[in-house]
Amino acid sequence: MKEKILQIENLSIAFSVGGEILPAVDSLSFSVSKGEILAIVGESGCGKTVSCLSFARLLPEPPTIYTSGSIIFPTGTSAGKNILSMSAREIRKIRGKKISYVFQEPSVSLNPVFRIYDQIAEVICLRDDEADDVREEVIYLLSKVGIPDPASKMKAYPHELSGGMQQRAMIAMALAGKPDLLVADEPTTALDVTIQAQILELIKNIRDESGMAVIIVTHNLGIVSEMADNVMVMYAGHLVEKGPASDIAKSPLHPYTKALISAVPQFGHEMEKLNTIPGTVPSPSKYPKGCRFYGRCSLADSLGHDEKRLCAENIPILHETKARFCRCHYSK
Amino acid sequence: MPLLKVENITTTYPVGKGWFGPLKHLHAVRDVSFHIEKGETLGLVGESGCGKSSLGRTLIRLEKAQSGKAVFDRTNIFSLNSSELRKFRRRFQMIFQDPYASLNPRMSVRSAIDEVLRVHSALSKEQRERRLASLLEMVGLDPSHADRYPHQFSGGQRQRICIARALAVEPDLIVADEPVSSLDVSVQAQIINLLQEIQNKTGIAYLFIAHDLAVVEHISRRIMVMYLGRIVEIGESRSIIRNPAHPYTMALISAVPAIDRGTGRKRIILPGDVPSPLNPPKGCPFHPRCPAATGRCSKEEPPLALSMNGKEHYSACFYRDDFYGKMSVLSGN
Repeated sequence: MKEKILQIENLSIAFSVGGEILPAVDSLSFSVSKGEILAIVGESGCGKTVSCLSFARLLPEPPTIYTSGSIIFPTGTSAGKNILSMSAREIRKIRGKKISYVFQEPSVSLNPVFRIYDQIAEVICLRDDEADDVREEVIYLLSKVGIPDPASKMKAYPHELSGGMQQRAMIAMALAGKPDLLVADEPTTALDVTIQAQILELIKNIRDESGMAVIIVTHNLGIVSEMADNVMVMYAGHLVEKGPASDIAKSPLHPYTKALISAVPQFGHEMEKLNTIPGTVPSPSKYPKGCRFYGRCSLADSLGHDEKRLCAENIPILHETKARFCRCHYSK
Repeated sequence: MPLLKVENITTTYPVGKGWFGPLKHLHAVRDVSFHIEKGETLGLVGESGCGKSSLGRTLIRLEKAQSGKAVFDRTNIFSLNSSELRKFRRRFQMIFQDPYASLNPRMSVRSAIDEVLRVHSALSKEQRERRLASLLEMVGLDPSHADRYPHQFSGGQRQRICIARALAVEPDLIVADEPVSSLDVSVQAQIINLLQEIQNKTGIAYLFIAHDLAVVEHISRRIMVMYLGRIVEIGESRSIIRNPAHPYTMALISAVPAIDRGTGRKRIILPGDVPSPLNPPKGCPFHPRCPAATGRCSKEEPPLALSMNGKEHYSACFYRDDFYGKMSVLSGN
């Protein structure tokens, strides 16, 4: 077992909107080890991005309320502290330095009025105010993420670069802080497949070299099984399934994971019809009392009346069987 | 006879070069020819900027073609005048990527669809009302929601409204430009199934534009691959996916992250980006990124020619027949 770096315990996040408290994430617990790639999967509105932003307290407070739980980083050392009880000054030492982010749309994340060089140099100077070879380091970082001719490209403004190059610059910026944890929120969704392949390969290589942990948020199950060591599937603010990526791709346990996998056309397999999940993800103000997937669940449809009542009334707990976790009353 | 026969279409956009500089032309679509049969789905794949949307828009005359012909059921679409075109438009419709942007936020579903029926049909008010209800039912929406506005629907439902509006005039062809790209996977599956059901019921043909090869393979009978404004490969889906005869298609296929693929597979990582269409490379447009390029590729442009990989399978590569059986992505090695 590798050394843990981030430990989330029973984390619940809610938003207070117009006097109403809307739960976004409910009792989430997991950990990430050094050098691990963890994927978080789910549809839009299931709480993946909200959980990721909470690791460096990037959510605006208010309206965000952390109703329970703790985020310990870095775990296992004497310096490990609960991020939720840190002061703003302490968090600034972690944000962008120990925990870096790469977001979905590079053209929105980069500042359009500064050259790439200035934006990366800023991170280096913030990390180490006595850094002298800033120029050299920027060139080194840009060449590491595969930007050709970095010495002249670093003088470019973001709009002068293609989407793939912008995302590489974002990754270089994230690496400039020498993070222990890289959080990549849908890093390739805005990119073409051949560019996506380049970027994913790059993230993997950097992980292999530096041993940092990576959390990758995606809705593409293909990316998960090619990149990740472990997977967390989220649905309506709940963690519904967790385990090694290869096991989940081959034999998903939770009905939601099963449905999600069968809804994607499998490349090279001929299928008459795609499986669909009826309805849509419920909104936080209308979460059902019991299992949040009840109502769209195909497993529940095959159950008897009394068995269905359990699904409708009680939130299932996260069962563990052989290093795999599943939140379902009947599928274990 | 094919439903639509496209011959040598070229679409260019003028690109200004300062006040006094010469006016440049961006060749979005270059000398493209293909056909679509009645009731079939032709998939069109390629990366952003390859001209796939420009081609779709040119076909239904949302863009003006520089040259070429598009013969739709014996009529050349490009030679129609505007009043003839308006009448002819009911034979072909379009669905766009972002359903919210293509619906008027101030028009209820009823008025959006009723407008189409009023313009294109001679139905009475009661008949239109009945047609509206049957259209909404066909796309899986509750007819009692007809008085709602676009913002009251989810993304998938909005795309259903766009489909209902396109179907209102009973077209023979729908150009669907990335219709499922902005949707979640479970909703994406619903819309793909819906499009297929409609095709089975009405015998409509689709030109299905997307960048997701797995989706295109699932829905299409034939696939067409574009790169820098040109068709580089076209053929039956099965043949294209199993035996690609162009290195670009091979790279595209190998780049698709798949859920259950073997581990021994080698991924082809293409170097660099797509070149700018303003300044396309000489010779084969793909040669600067191609792992199999030779000296000949940088001088001559390979024509689209029949390949031995399958019947009706064309590839624009000099070495198209050398790749046969080399790419067995699906068996995992």
